[in-house]
Amino acid sequence: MAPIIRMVNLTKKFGDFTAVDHLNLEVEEGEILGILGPNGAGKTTTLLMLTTVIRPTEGTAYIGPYDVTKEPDKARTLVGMAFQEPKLLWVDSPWDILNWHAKVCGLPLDERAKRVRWALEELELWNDRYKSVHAFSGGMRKRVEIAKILIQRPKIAIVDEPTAQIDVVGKYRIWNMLRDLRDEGSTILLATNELYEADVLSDRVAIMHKGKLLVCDEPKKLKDSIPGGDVVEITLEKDAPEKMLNELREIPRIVNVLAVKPNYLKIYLNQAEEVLPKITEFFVKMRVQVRSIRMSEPSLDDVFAHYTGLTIEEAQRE
Amino acid sequence: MISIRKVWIVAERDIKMFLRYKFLLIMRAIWFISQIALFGLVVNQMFRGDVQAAVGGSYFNYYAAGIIITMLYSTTVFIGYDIYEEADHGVIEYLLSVPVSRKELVLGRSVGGGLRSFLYVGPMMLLVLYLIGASNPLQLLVALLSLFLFTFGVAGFSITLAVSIKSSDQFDILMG
Repeated sequence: MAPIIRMVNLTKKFGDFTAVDHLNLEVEEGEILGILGPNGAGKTTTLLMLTTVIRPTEGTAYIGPYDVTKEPDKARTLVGMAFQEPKLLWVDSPWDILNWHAKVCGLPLDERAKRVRWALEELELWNDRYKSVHAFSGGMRKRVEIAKILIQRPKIAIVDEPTAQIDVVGKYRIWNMLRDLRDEGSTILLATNELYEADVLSDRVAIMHKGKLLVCDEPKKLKDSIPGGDVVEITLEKDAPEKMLNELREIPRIVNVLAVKPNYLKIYLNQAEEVLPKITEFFVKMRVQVRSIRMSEPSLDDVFAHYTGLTIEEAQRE
Repeated sequence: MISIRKVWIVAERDIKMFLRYKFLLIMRAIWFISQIALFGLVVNQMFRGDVQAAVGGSYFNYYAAGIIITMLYSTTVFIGYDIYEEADHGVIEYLLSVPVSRKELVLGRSVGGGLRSFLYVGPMMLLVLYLIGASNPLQLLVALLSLFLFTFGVAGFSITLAVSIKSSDQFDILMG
């Protein structure tokens, strides 16, 4: 099956700064593709190019059969976007915003009324539907933004950090709604910097950093692909010097040691049950007291760290 | 190919949006009434009969017609401020992402910006025409059509300037 979105050397530069750097990525019809990366990775810029809000500096993208640089009007008929920052005017009410959105997307009157009511009720906005969004919290505004694509049910739904500022219960509800949207036939492109969200919601995850695509695959395959299938997290009583880390790396079956904090290490290794005693022995020998030790499965953060040498949190701070 | 339906949907949004600025609408209406009922009559008393004759019989008529044009201009220009407000809240990005062509969007906003002003000032316009004593239907029709084209043009001009000038303060100074 032909991909429904195809990015070909998609590039966006703002002056000397390259926000998106020769991105080549395909999205299959009916999948949820998560774009994971820290702030500034180029996720939102990519989405804005796909929705034809901004033009690529170089390369292009195809939305279905339409080239976004040559047929932007046609490309937009297939796409709906829920923005990262809710795009609402203070004088608007959810009722007006959603009804206008449904109308401009070409929904007939009866269907419009049904879907707007359904979305407002599902997102617990029905009682506040006539209130100005000026009085809304960040989470409520975000729900209005999400409601737009739930009502539109576009062929390609683009959602940028859909659950930012939303409480835990609300997050699960929105994830289920996005899954339902996918099951009804939409392809979903999800940009997020939340590891868990990308992991549980995406069929495939594309990891971006500094405008470049690092890797794209199913979450499980990505996690399995990193050398050192087990992760041991160790918190020390005092900071570990670089020399100590290098010696630690010398222990057989340890693939990598990442100092998340000077006293907090993530050790990637194979056959943890055999290596763990050697690790504890090592710290005893070095006379460094271990405060805590924990074994875990690799996460998408570990995948990100494998490709960049940084955790997402560190990359975010950079 | 421009879709009239989509142009109207865009225009309709601007018309509805305008009705939400209740404070602005009330203040403008008060301004109009005070201009006509107070300043118009006062200024009219300040001119001699020969001057009044030179401007069509009554300086009040001249003044009232001018007030209507000023009202139309100032309310139509407001679409430019909407653009700034939308830019601040990122609504422009949203409008650029909906399935409406750029031409439909610009045309819709120009029509909406002009029409909302025309509809708002309409009753005042009729009042002024009544006060002036204009009764020829053809002249009325031509006057209304010209005034609508005026608002449509000013709305388009205001949108163009708002998009070109990044500072709302500069826009404010330029548009008076």
